[in-house]
Amino acid sequence: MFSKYLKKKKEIVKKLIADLGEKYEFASILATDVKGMVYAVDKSSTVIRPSSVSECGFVLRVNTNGLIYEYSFSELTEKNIDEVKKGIEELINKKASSKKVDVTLNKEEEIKKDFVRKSKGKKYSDNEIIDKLKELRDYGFSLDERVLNCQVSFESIEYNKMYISKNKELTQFYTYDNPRCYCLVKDGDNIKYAYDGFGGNNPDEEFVLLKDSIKETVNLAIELLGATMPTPGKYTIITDPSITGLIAHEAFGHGVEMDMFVKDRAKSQEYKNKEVASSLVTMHDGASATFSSASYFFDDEGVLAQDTVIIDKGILIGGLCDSVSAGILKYHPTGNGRRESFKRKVYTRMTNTFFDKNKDKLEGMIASTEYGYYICATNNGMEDPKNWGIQCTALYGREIVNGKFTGKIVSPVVMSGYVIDLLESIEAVSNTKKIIGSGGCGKGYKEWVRVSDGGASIKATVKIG
Amino acid sequence: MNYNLNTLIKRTIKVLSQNKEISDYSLNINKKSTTEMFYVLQKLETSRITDTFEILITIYKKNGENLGQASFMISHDINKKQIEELINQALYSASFVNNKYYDIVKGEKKIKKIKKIDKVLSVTPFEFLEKTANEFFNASFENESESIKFNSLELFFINNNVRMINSKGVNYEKETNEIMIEAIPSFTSFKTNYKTELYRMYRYNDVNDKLIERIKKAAKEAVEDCKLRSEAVSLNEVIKDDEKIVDVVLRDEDISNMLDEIISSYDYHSVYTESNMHKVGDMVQKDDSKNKITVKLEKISKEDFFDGEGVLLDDVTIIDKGKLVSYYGGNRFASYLGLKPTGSLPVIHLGKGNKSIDKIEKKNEKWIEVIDMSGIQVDLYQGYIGGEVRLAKYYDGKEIKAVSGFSFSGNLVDALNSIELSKEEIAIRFYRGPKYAKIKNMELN
Repeated sequence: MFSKYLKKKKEIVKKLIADLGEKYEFASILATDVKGMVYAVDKSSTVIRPSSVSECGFVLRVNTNGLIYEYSFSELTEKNIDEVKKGIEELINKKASSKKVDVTLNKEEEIKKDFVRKSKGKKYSDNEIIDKLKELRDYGFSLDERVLNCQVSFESIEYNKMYISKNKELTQFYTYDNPRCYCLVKDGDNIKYAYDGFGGNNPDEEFVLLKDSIKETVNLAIELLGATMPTPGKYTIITDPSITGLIAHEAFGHGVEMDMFVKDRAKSQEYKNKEVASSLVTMHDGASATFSSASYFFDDEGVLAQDTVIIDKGILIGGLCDSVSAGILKYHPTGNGRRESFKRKVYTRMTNTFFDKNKDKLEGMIASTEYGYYICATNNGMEDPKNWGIQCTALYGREIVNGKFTGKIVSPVVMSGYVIDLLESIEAVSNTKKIIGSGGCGKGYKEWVRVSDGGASIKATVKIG
Repeated sequence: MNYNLNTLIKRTIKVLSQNKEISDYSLNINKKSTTEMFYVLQKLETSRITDTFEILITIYKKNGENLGQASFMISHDINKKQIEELINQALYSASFVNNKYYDIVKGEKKIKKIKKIDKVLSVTPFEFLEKTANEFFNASFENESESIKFNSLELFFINNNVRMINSKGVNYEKETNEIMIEAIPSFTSFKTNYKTELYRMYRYNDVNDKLIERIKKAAKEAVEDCKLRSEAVSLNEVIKDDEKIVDVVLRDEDISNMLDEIISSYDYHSVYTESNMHKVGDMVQKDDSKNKITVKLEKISKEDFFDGEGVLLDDVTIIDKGKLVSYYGGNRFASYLGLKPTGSLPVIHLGKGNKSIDKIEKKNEKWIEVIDMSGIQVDLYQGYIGGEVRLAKYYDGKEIKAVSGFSFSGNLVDALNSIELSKEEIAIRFYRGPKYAKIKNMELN
């Protein structure tokens, strides 16, 4: 249930906002109490520790003089409320010599609401989680004597957030789990690894899925012992949903984060209502677009979750926007204003990003491939929103010759190229889709938030190597 | 902000000490304050300050022959009863953890090293960040046909106060300052409307008034690199298909990332789980490699004298003239292996080479010097090195051309065996060593 700590702080937060609201055009507070635990076992150890997303604190925002001012702090009590007010006022009173952007935040709609999404299934104790993980680890080792290490982990997170401004009083409580496995195998001097991860809010189901995931991961790692590196060149590829998601995320997700428009950093702003992809492509982002790791009820600026269609049948129609960028661009916020934690600034960020399914059968897409690769398992990617370059790295690819898998496997697969070339080369989109909710996303090389991505399998042409 | 942290720490330690079930405990106390300024199109958009703390508490519990441990976080003031509840919860968790026993780090008497902000700068952090912004804006330019401006500039002054306390006598404290800058130099042609940009991240831990001169130089170089990118042509326009095996010169950040991956399997955890690629005494490079590398791990600064487990940090040589001479890592796996913990040493120091970059980039050979990548990709176990290049200088044997929009790839082992290091050195936050390293016979695509 919703954080007792934040409940206790609600009145003093409201008092602070009321005081500041008399003096400034806009004042808000986001208060967070995110409790996450990671349980992990491997060959040599068991670990129980707080998750990296754990946070508890407050961020005060004031909009006045055409600027945004923020103060992040750990504690708010009757004793230090004046100190907080003094801190933000001192910041506001600092005379900056540089020119100002002149931003006025849009007027917020009045809303008071408490959102709750509880975990489904049984509540597992620490003992039960550790026992399950040990059982699964042992299962991983039992699958092949070449397994050198099998790490199995379970991250359980409870998100509690409260947003209060002049017009809004919102709270949300929801849970999310991330089961993961990592397997290392050794044959002589040859060492290889494979990994998998997914998300959900039903531990009963997740432990069952994790067993399948471990089996697939061990088998893949064993298979990778025979992997070679791909010969650099241009290839027909078919992607698994994780790679589709990676492409969607890196190719166009970052490019339509509208704080990039404000900074004239996104080429996509020149392409509104223009063709940017094959007509088979429809792309969404939104906390309410699907259920996954970024399915919150409201963002870190108190904007309710939405489902934004970014690309509709190949045409760029929408962008993602935080409140500050909306104020500057005279646009509407889309529920994508996110912070790494209360300690960090808000940016426009993706949530659940995916390509919609279409009508092709995956089997048919493979059967119609003369030569190419089925590319699987996201490793990492990097955006280049201004120049539309793209780099997406996958763990492996399976060779296809004359419509059939040859059994040959290549690793790693580093795909690169020009975003539009890639998206326009899409010639088939599968009729099934999957969203993978176990990833993280940085903006540049910082500001990490949890995101999901995925979608249907796509068939396209891309440069590898 | 006055959080009465000392009272909270004392209260917590008292409860921990009085609990008979706890065999040992540790506290990692992190207090951080920052001043941050965010500029959009060279205009101020947001000013921020932060003043936060977190205490990570780890309790250890003997479970027969084994050791249980569990951690939890405190991030606001709580009373004795609440602390007791959290400790009991952690004890319950730790009772299901049966790791091989090890001793936590024992403390040594150490003088507290405190560095106050007002002693490192003659101006306030806010004023210093404004001066920094002005250096970037002064480096930008605009004429009738084109401009290079910093379309996004984010400036952070970070003060970290870190304390480490444990039940075995560790009680250390350090204070460090850092300037972090994310800068996006952006080119616009007013004639063609062609636009391009580069991503630049700078982190400086030696914060003082003189730093502004280094920042000024960095801003100027960022503008020069961005200008070069605006002139870059597609690699395919300047190179034939049968000429795509070329020597590649990497710069500091990419050299650092490559080495980070190469030494990653020499940490104690990898050694303990038998996933290390080499054993101490093995040659990491072939015997006949002309340029043997020496790699050390070092702390960031003299103020950074202990790590999160309370290990006192000393620099350690990992690879000496191509030979693996030491593993590295934290207390726990060091203890299991019967070795001395080196602690968490974040800086890679690569020994410099004996040739200047002019000699490495020969006049009678073709080469590519990578200026900006999407992120170098290294797969240690597959032996892969490569990645997408956003900007490079290509020398075709006659002249240098700026190129972009291509990738390179090759064999990591071959790259290491063929490496040539410059005698020009550079120090960035997590890397000290040659500014340039040439790896041979990479395939361009």
